[in-house]
Amino acid sequence: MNQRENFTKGLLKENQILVALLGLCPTLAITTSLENALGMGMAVIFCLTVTNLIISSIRKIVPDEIRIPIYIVVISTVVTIIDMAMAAFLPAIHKSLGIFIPLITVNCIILGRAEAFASKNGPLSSVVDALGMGIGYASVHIVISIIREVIGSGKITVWGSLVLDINKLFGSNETLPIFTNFFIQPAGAFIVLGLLLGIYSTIRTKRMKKTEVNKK
Amino acid sequence: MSKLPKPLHYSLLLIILGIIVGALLSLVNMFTAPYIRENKLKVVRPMLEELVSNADKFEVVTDQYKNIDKSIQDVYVAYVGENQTAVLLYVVTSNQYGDIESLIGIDITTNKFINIKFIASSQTKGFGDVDTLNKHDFKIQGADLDVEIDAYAKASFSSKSVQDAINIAAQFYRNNFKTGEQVDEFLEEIKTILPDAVKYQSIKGNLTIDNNQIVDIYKD
Repeated sequence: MNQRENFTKGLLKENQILVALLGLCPTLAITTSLENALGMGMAVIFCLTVTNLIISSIRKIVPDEIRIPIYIVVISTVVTIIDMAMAAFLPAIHKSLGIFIPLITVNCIILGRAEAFASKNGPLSSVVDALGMGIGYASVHIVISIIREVIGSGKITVWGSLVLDINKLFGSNETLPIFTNFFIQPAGAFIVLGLLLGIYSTIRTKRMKKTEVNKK
Repeated sequence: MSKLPKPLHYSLLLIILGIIVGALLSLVNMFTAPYIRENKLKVVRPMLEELVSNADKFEVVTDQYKNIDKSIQDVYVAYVGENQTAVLLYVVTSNQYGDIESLIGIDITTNKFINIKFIASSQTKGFGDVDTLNKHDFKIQGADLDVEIDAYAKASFSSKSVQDAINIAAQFYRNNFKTGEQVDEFLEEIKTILPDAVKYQSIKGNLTIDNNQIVDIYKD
């Protein structure tokens, strides 16, 4: 596998949310706004990249029997640093992401990539893998949050600046009745994620069938 | 090191890793802590100013107090000129319904509550959210330290958390700031130290006061 394939596999083919169904808890909880999704996405990309880099660098000196505790210590250290840095420099996002930042420590994707990839490959491949997986994870968060925020409030706000206001396009200063905050609630998250998984699964199945036909 | 028995070898490895990680995290904490404290002060400053409108400055003095109740997140002192005029406590109380973050002011000159302001609440919307709590008059303005708040109807859980916060703040103030009363409480002990004194009077109360440390300064 070359580095390009290594990077792109995490975007769709082996997307950790759409294919592996990992890390769904924060996906459902924090995708209420695009701002949250961007913050969480950046935190996961950074954490995944740094932990993969460290773990692949020390893989030859880590005894097999205690590799999992060592990985957990490395991951939790990186997450704690992210938590402190966000509290200091991005306080608004830190507050809205709340408990989900420390919970990155137990995110299956981080430990999963450390165990499945970084512990068996070199630093460069591990960083490329982490970037691909992290961007794939963040992209799904972004898509879900845009859908939820638009349907839920009719507008998108990022870091205090209004990016899009559909209500105003219809000449209204208030939220139009077609936008229901049901989609910002947890039930809305399940529906949006379910629909997204369904759509992606259908496309994937069709593609696989097409490939099989072409092979025959 | 590889000749060591495996359990010892692994334990040593984990200890070394722990030391490295501990050092790294303290370094990061040293760097980020001032910014985090500044951010927190930015959030509470409007409320501090609302509670003590005539204050010239506010100082964070949390570090001066050791072994205080874990619910007290920060301690601020308001100054008018060079004189301390009020103590303000950032208190977080919680129960099964969530946290309530409040700022409680106590007037140093009168030893009475200034008021309570709510910063955040994760309790039930409409009954215990921050706006609802801030609208409710708990009747602690100008009240004595042993006040029992006017409970918030239909939301006893919020009221209990609020009462807890007020009791914690009052206890902290009694232990660390309130002057005069300790004389009677510790008179017998003081007499053993200065048996010849005619009169004992508390002259300064804002010292760290816990366990076996100095409780107050007295002059004879």
